[in-house]
Amino acid sequence: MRASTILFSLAAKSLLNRRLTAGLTVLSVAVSVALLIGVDRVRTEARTSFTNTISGADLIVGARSGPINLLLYSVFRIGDATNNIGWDSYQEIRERPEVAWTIPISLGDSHRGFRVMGTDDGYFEHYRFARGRALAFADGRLFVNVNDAVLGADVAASLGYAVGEAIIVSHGIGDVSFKDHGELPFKVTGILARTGTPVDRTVHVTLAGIEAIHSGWATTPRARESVVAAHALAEELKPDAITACIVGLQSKLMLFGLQRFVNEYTAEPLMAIVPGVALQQLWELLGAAEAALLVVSILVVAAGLVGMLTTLLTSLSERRREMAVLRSMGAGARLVFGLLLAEAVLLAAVAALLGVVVVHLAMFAARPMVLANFGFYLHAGLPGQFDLIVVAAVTGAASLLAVVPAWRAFRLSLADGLTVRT
Amino acid sequence: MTNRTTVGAMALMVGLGVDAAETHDTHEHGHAVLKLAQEGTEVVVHFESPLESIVGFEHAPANDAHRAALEEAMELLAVSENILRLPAGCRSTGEPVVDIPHVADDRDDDHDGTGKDAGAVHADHEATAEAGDDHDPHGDGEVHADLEATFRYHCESGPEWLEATAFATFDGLEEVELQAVGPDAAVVETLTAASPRTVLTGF
Repeated sequence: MRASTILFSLAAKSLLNRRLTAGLTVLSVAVSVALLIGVDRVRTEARTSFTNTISGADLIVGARSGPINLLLYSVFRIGDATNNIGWDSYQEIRERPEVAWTIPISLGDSHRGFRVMGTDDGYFEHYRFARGRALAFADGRLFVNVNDAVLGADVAASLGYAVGEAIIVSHGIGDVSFKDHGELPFKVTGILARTGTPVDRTVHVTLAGIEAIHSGWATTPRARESVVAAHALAEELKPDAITACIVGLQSKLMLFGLQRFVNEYTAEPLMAIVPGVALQQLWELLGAAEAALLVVSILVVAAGLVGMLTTLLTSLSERRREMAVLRSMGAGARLVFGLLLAEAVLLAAVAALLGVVVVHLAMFAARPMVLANFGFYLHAGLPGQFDLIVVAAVTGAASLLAVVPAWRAFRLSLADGLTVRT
Repeated sequence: MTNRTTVGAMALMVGLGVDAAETHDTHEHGHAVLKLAQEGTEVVVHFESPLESIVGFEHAPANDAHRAALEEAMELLAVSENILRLPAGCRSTGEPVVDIPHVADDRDDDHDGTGKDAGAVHADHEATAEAGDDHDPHGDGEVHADLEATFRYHCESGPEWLEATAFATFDGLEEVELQAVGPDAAVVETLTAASPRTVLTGF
């Protein structure tokens, strides 16, 4: 048996003998490691997920507020609602020569806690996510009629809806809506394939559909007809305003020119933002807070390790007998030194690995809640490079710190010999 | 000077003048914005700055010193290297388009054939401008004006980096916010005289 194997098996047995204190030490270090990895994971996952949510869109046009606010509300459906933009302004932007396509977005209604978004065919044709992937139907087809609805994958899965089912859209957001637009039931015509973006949690209807709920059109005799094509009613149910629109350009070179046109639009205060730029600005804004969180988590790990050091040091006086027995059986002072180091390394490595497991399980469990509340998707991927670095760093730091108790044990075991003072 | 400013584009600014600032996104003295867009081998860069940071004032020119300052700024802006540098693989194409509000006003007055003598400002126009009746959108004596210059490049490979040289050209500039948008990437970076250069990852 090699010396190191003896060392680690001795250390493990000794730790098992003190399983309660050792377990608690492992737990405290594991929690701190989980926190550190969790902070980093959420940070990187949020970035990837936000970046993946919108792809291929050149500009987002909305009412003048802040770029980040407009981006968060129109694309991620989080944050404060922005003002609407006039339908005429939207038409004018749409007809600009630079513009290749537009996607209108009308928000403000909900269905059992899921956002309802009014839009048109352009959405299914032009919306891209995760670096250029288009939306696909898992079942059914596009909306055609005023009261047709296309569901995101999560909406269908969590409410158990299938194509053909009737749903009621309510005004405002939230689970229990105080005012149901009960007169006009929507029929599910399609369910989208999962995207891992807020699209999954959205109920899509036509712009005319949104207008129908709000204008009282639903109570007219015409609405009683079973099928009313939305485009046939385009004029009758023309919206006055939409929340925002996503714009695709003929060429990226025209980006800032059109942005200037929109920002200087005189009929109403509009704002055009470049999604990528607004996201970068958001990261810049969050950068300081992220750094602070990271520093705090590193300090928590340091505190956890110091706690481990304390435990090791206090255990020494109780273990003078153990050390003395080892020495009497021919163990050198170096072995005692090594034993303490091995203990620390074992404790830290087990704790760090446990932390990694805990954080990944927690992220998996928190995924639906995070997507619902913060608009991004936590991928419970395999442990990455950062996880490995943390495990190595924590174990390394623990072995360095353990030099203190190890040195003490080394000295004491020499001085004590077999004479145990009582 | 090889790069001539485009008079037509300047004429666009007539009437906009200082009013342009009213609907502009941001206006912070000492703070300019460089917006870069890339598609294929073509690159367009817009430079937007408060007029004050470039010429030291933000109203219609009141004296010869003001007019000279505007003229000088116009000439400096017409050379892209005075504002930014891109890697050697990128060469400037076309003429820079420079919009300076009050210079445009002046030039427009000059369209009667007196040629390029931008210094010759009609006395009555200037009097109107100074009275501020149509140059003070806030009505509180606060006047803001922005200038803009557009540069075009042809790049053999993507522009790997960008260096803002505007700090050396205009003392009034403290920072330049870069917003660069490429096919699959966006870079936002605040450049200063101490660190004027940034790598454009993903371009």
